[in-house]
Amino acid sequence: MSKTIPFLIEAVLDSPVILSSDAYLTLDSLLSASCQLRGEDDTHLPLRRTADVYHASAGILVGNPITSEAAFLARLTVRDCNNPRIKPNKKSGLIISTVSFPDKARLDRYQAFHAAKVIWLGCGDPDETLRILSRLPGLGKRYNAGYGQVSAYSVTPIQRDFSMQLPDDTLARPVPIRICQQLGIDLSHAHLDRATYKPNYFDFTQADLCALPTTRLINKDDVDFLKEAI
Amino acid sequence: MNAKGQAALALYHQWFGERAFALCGLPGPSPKQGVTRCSGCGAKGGHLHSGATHAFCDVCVTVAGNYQGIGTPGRMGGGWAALITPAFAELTTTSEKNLQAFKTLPQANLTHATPNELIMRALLNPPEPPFMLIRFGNANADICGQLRASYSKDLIYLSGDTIDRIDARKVRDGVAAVTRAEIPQKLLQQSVASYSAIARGLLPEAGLQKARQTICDAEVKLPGITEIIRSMPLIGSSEYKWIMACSYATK
Repeated sequence: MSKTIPFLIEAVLDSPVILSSDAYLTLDSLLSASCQLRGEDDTHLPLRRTADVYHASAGILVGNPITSEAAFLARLTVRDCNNPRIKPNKKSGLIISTVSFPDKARLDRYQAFHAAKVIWLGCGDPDETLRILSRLPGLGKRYNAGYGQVSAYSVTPIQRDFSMQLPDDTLARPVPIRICQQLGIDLSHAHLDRATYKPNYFDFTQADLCALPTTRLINKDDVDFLKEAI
Repeated sequence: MNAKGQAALALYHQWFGERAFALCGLPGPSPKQGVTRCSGCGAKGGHLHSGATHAFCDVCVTVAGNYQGIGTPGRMGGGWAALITPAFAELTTTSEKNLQAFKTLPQANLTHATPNELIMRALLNPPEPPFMLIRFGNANADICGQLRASYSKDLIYLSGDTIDRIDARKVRDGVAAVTRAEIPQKLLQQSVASYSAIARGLLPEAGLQKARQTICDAEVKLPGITEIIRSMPLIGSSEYKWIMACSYATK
């Protein structure tokens, strides 16, 4: 990594972004996804790392966004054909019913946030981070259906590293409790849950008991404060 | 199912899985040849209980009652809740018939109460984590994928038809504040609704003035209420719903 400085990244949203309550959209997860989409190595992201945890905050929505429900219908797909009960085009084979449990179509309901911007706080190489991040086709779930589209990214170097802890002492990202003491994080008011804390975030076999971020929204004035805080 | 769900499922299985067969009272013929996985959760390798068209594992069979292909144990439908820890299980139901069925679960505490009573008690006085709080509804088909254990007394998951994530500390703080100030229910509802509308910025100017006036009137009736409602969760959140339930349901 050529340089290691704290920075703040802003993404201007063109469409609502889907976020679930236990998915934090951390900056390192997005960089990792961007690399994996192109088949590149994602083991050395341009971010500072302390004991397996990248200095990269969860995504924080700016303003007080209106929320809406984004519902998608999920049916049997090709990958379900591994199910031994599915034997297409065979009269003697086992049959399935797609109108009743458990093979019927499923309605996945997500919450979409109509926010103007998303921000992340990080520490590392800001230019390289921005380059990798801006290659992503969208943010959050269902970006391929038009959600989480970004019109512009910008990065601002800042004075202090808020990528682990925000100025109000709340956590900025999931941090395993076994390293909280090492990082000087007070756990007395933290929310604890089993969560993943490093890429690949979808791989829950590497989940650990973590202290979780609670700040999911931020005012525009507070973003300016973060930029100027010394 | 991810490892998070699997850990929760293991906790559920500890109490219900091995006893599910007796609890449901199903005859349990062997599944058709070639059927090796559960129709509910997709688990392979376990003992399967066969219905007319589907086969279910020890866990899924307890909750698949209302779906086709299984001899419906009607008592396993909605109207009951369970609080499970590695050390004890507590079940509540308002049905005498269900209570009789649950007696097949040794060492489980049985209570004649509504599901919400158990949930409120768990939110206000949670047991030592890890634990799991389940509210069974009438559509429990995907219950195996809808279980989530809680690892903290402050962040509690309510499993069931949907997984609710509840900030229990906010609920406890809200209930304590409402109880201390002895705020009438209607006054609290009106004030929080007005404050939420202002905070969300969704009202036109005339509506904003009316909302501000409502809060001013409430402050005149009960000095100090403004500070309380500013610290409360906004209307529509699950925390607000449980604050209202815990504060007023038993009165």
